[in-house]
Amino acid sequence: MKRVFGLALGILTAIGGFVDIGDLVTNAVVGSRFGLSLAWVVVVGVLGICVFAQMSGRVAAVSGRATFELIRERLGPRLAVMNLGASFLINLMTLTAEIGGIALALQLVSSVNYLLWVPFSAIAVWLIIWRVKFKIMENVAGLVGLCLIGFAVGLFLLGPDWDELGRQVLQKVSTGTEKTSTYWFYAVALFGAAMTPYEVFFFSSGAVEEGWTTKDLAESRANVLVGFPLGGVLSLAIAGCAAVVLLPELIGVTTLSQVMLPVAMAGGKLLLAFIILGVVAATAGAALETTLSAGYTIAQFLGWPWGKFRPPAQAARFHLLMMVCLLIGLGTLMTGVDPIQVTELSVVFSAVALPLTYLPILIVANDPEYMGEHVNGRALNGIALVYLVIILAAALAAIPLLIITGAGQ
Amino acid sequence: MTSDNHRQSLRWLDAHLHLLDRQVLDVHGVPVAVVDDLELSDIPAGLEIPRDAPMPTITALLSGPTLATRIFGGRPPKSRMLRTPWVAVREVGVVIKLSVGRDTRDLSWTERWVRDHVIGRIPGGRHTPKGEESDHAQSNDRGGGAS
Amino acid sequence: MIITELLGARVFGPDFLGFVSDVRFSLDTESVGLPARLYGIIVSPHARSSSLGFERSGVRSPWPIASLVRWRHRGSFLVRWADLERIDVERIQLRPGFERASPELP
Repeated sequence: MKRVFGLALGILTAIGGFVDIGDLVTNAVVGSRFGLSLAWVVVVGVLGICVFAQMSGRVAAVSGRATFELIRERLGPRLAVMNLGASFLINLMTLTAEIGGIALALQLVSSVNYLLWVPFSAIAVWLIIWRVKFKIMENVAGLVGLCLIGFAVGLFLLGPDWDELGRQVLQKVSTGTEKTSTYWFYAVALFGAAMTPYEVFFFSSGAVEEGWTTKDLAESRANVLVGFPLGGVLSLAIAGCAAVVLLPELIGVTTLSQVMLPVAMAGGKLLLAFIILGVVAATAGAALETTLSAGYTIAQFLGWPWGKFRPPAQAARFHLLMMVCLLIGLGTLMTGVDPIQVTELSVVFSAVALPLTYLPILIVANDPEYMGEHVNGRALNGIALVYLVIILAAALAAIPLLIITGAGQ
Repeated sequence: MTSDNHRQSLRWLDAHLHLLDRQVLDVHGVPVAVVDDLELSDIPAGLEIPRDAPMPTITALLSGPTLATRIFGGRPPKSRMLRTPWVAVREVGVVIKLSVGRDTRDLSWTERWVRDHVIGRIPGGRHTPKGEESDHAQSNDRGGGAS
Repeated sequence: MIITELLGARVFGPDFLGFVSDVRFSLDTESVGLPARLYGIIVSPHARSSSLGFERSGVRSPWPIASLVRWRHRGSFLVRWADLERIDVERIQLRPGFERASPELP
């Protein structure tokens, strides 16, 4: 059992990164409009985040340095500040969306209005960060979030035409109603959702929170190789359900309940309840992940003491910062902003900011001063460099595609 | 001076590569500051340097509000920088470790202020999160510390 | 003097040679107080600052980045303290007959 719990960090990081409220909806949107023809992007993204997180987890375990500390130390002050600005804003946007996501999910199971759930969600997230031990937090959120596997169950229960799904996976652009530029916009969005920088900030800081050392390198690797592919499977299951039920009817996806529709059809109320539990846990996990990432990035850049392993009084500014972020998120949501649209935008910006986060990790993972004998092997460097090119391409294409397609209309 | 290269006890530190922007930890492993600048001894500025002038040494680590100056240029005046005398440095590695405790210096009055006036006043602020056990015996080396 | 006053300064011999891309110290680990003495400056003909250091450390991975950085700092050399004649604001004058040493970290 302990070994299963030992993988919780990777699972939580993946769930918070891949199937948070924005990705839940984006995957369903993609499934309803493109079928599974964008499945290859999920695979490419999963492999990419595995490479990225594996390097940063290893660096954190061997050198004790978390990602943003390395960005400051190796990138030089001006680039590091730019990265800080972009990463912090993205974290803030995403955590706002996730708090909204928890409220949306809770609204589905109760008849209580969404706006009343928002403050409840924000306070609950704060309380968990304030008092709950990191390990318990990751175990509960990560493992309950796995209830989202209900989407895969639902997909099987729907009895889809597997040949048709397979055909969609292999073809490039599906229905004639979608333009090529929209296809590539969603490709970049899915890639950005898989490789969001905050996943790496959280994973490497979590490695330091857990006290991983060189003895834990195997555990670090296992977390990566189990957690992120699992997240990818969940993404594909959600898209698959939408592809089977919503695509043929050309039903658009704009709300959380539409995402759940295929599952409700397949497995009835029981499966739906299971899924909603998963959504609440996954969105809460994502809210925790992004709030903590906001704290980690600023605290690590400025050299403050940080970490949930310290009593809050010994990491005072770190905790104060997170409280302020949650208040900003809460305030923004109470103005009626749609959390789902916020996160779709932040995913695209993540793709733009990614190179500046990836590069320092790649450099430090090769630096014997930090890593001793645990520097990257040639094979890993080979894949990592291929991904550097992909990441740069996505970063350059993201904003133009956003403008051309009007955010995927 | 070429014989310096052969002395085992000498280590070579380049400012950008090994010192600037590095984390400084106090004697308990708690993060204190980031090195933003280095104070050097006796360099005769604007004058011809005598041929046998001794090599200047680092006299202190400087940390200060450099966020804005790094974006826009320039540097903050030396009086606004927090100064850690070099004699307090115990070890220079991936992080710089001091031999003194954080609270003995004025290095983190903002941290102390937030602790005393905000965080310390909220219930539970001074306790470790629930369920903390002895696996955190070495916790003080983390959160900015190298293993 | 503080080090950011030296970093990025223009270096002149008889002509303009480059910028101070870094400053090298020798740390005496055996003496009391760990004295860190200014051993020399790294002069880079084309770039104002060098914070990745591939031209000095001998690390070749990841190769595209290392190669790019080494190219950007091609022609860098080390000048020892004794060869510095004069330090002004943003300007360092070297002694006639100064010695160029390899910037590689020993």
